[in-house]
Amino acid sequence: MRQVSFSYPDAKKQALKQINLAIEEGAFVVVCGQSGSGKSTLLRLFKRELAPYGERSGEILYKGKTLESLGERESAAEIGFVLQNPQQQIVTDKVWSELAFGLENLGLEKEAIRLRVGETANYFGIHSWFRKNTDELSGGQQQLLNLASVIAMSPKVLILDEPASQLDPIAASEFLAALKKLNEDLGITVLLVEHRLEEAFSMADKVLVLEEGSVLKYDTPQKVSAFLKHHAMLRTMPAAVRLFHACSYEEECPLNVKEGRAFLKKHFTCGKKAEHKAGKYKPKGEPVFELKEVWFRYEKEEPDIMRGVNLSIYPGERFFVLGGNGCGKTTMLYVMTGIYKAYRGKIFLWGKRIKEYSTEQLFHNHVAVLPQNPQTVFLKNTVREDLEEICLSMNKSREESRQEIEQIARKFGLTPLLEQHPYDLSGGEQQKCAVAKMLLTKPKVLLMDEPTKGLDGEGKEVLAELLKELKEDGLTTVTVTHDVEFAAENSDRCGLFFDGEMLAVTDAMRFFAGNHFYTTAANRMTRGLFEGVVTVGQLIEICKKNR
Amino acid sequence: MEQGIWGRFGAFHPVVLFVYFASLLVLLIFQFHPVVALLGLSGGLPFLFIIKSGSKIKKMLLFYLLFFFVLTVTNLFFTHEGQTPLFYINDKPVTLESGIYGAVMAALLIAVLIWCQCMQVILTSDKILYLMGKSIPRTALVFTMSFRFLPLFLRQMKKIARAQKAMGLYAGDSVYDKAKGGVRILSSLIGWSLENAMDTACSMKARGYGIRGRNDFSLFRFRKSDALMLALILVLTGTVFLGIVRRDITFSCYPAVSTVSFTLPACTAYAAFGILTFLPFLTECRERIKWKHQKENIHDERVGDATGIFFLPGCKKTGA
Repeated sequence: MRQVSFSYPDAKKQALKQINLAIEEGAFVVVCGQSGSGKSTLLRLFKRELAPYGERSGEILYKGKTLESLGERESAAEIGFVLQNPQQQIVTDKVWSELAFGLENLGLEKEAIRLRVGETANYFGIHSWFRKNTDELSGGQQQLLNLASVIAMSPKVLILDEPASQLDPIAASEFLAALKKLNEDLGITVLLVEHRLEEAFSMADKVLVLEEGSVLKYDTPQKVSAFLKHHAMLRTMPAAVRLFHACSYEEECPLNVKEGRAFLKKHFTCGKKAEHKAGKYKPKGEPVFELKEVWFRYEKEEPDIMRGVNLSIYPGERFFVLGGNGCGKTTMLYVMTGIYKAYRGKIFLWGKRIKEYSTEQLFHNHVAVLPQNPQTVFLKNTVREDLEEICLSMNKSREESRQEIEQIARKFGLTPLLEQHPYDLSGGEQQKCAVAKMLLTKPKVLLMDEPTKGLDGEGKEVLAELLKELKEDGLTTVTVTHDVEFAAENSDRCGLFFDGEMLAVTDAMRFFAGNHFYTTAANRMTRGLFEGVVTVGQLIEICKKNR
Repeated sequence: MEQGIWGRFGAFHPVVLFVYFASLLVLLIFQFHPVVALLGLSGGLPFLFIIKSGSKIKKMLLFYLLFFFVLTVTNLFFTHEGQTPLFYINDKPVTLESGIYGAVMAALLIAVLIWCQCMQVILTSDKILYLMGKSIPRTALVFTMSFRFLPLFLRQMKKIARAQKAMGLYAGDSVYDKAKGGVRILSSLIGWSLENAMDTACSMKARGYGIRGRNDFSLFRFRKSDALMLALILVLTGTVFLGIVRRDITFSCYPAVSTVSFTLPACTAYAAFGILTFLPFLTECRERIKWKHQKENIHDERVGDATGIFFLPGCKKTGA
């Protein structure tokens, strides 16, 4: 695949401007850039079948031929594309038929399909769930299946648009590892857009940074990280890179935890304990929520999801519940609010049994739950209508609701979005609108389910800011997440939900400093070198002191 | 899907299964005959028991008994044809013939129901799709996609309902609130579906859907055993059919109950039908016996080996 040069004028401004790019065969290229920088547009242009409508100038060459001159079979088979959402890409109901789908389209012989499907399933370790229904799979398995069914067509180039953003960290790193393996074993050229740079960055042969539709830098990870020293994108770089830039040494930049550790050992006197506010946070007052020995299961015959959970949440704190996918964190949120009924144990809200609140009492003025997918929050055609609906349900007059909406929109900077369709917003914007909608019910406790899912670095920052504001307003927030880095930066207290129980409920610093695996990159990097470092900020601070 | 050790019959090729169920059901529906009804029932029930989980069988049997009783009695009191009055209600005769007709009809109906239940377990969606795919591949793809989409749709519906409830919207207990909430959720679901369909369409297109010369793939293979089974089914069905066409087996209730003939050709037809209905059950039994045998063989070999070692050189020497 050689030299690409095009510009792509859209309705108002150009989404991509005069891009020249050459990607060598067999390269692993990571594309990054802030949202709206044209990453997705660029990727889709490489795949003729998915190219967005619009005017394009310049030309894209694949192996010296323009994309347009490729045969449709060649184009479909040789350039594979994996999209962001694992669930919606799956076409058929059985795993095996999904694997065969692309091959069927190419019109291969039956025996050839059989062999290729078998081969692929084996390579990806899918054989154990080969005959399952596709809707029984976990998110990680689904995305692996999507990858496998593209690979079954034996592509030369693989293009992936944020494939791991909907997965939990463990599934995501497995997925990335599978990509790396494909790249190394089969020499497939990989073009990957990814927010989670902590891992992807050091895998890449080259990193392409886009900014507002043009190429900011296209080079090796080393050089790109050096280049980004004073750029806003630095915040999204791996912890090691950020440390390196904060300390300014003249040498190769460390890219991952391993290199970061070597770097620390070489340059700093280790063994000091971090002096931060560890343990300073103390919960105050009477608990808002109290769970006492709560047990829950969906059906009589099914296993318990909560086994005697004890938990107290105090007013005004930002509490985080961490845990792997499918461990029952979400279920716990809904049990807490009484939407699912616990079969044993008691749940108190302000000292009163949750059962004694009527649904309306509970969800007006007391508690609100932000579901995982903000799309389930919106039912109307514009954001304004959705917000109005809530106000009316709170028995407000039209005039009052108008004012309140204006107020909250101004506060969150949503005013320009009010007339848009909720589905047309970006992930971060959707999340903000959803929170705004929740806040109109005037809750004192806000429960959030995986709010960072699918958000890029920027979106997460907005969310973090939001959490801080809510805390200042005196709201108690309970957030369920598997995003360790986010939890470390933004929580007062944390707990790990595992095997139906809440483990290690303590203040955030102690929580992450005490964990071995379930902790931040900064903590893993400093394990045994500096004690009690959790966030990158702390890491940089302690390093500056101990040169 | 997989029925473990009881899965031999279901493992035949879909075409074989289809032919089997089709011919059996056609015979049951169109041949009004007590022996056919009896054989249909007695062949179908044990097979159903072994392929369905044990818990619901008692309930099912009870239901069928009740069903049988109700049908028979209904026919008894509502049909007044026939020559042999048992007693009179409102000057209308209640006849023996209508009772027997009702009973045979009910037995046949239940047999059909039982076999339909068996079919539901054995002829899974993927097999039906395969059969359809042979003749109408486009439609078959639409069906797989709907099979895929339906659970997603239901799940999303639950999620939305939960989310809305947690915001205190339509959370009231009144019917009006619930109905209104339902309509709103449904309309948002349509939006969601369209949104998702976009992604699915992209993924299909990216994998070359729409290129001419699409081929249909399935995991099923037509083996030698499938051919044998198919031949057997066809021969048996043919024999029964011949018996029907030649009027070797006929039965009527009105005006009088005809005698059930037991001539040689009639018996041949009954036997053929009997084998046909017991075919799945016998297949499973044979499989089970084979397994048991194999286990015993393995066991025997082990014992043999052990004794062999025991009696080998050392013993001989001491003997000598």
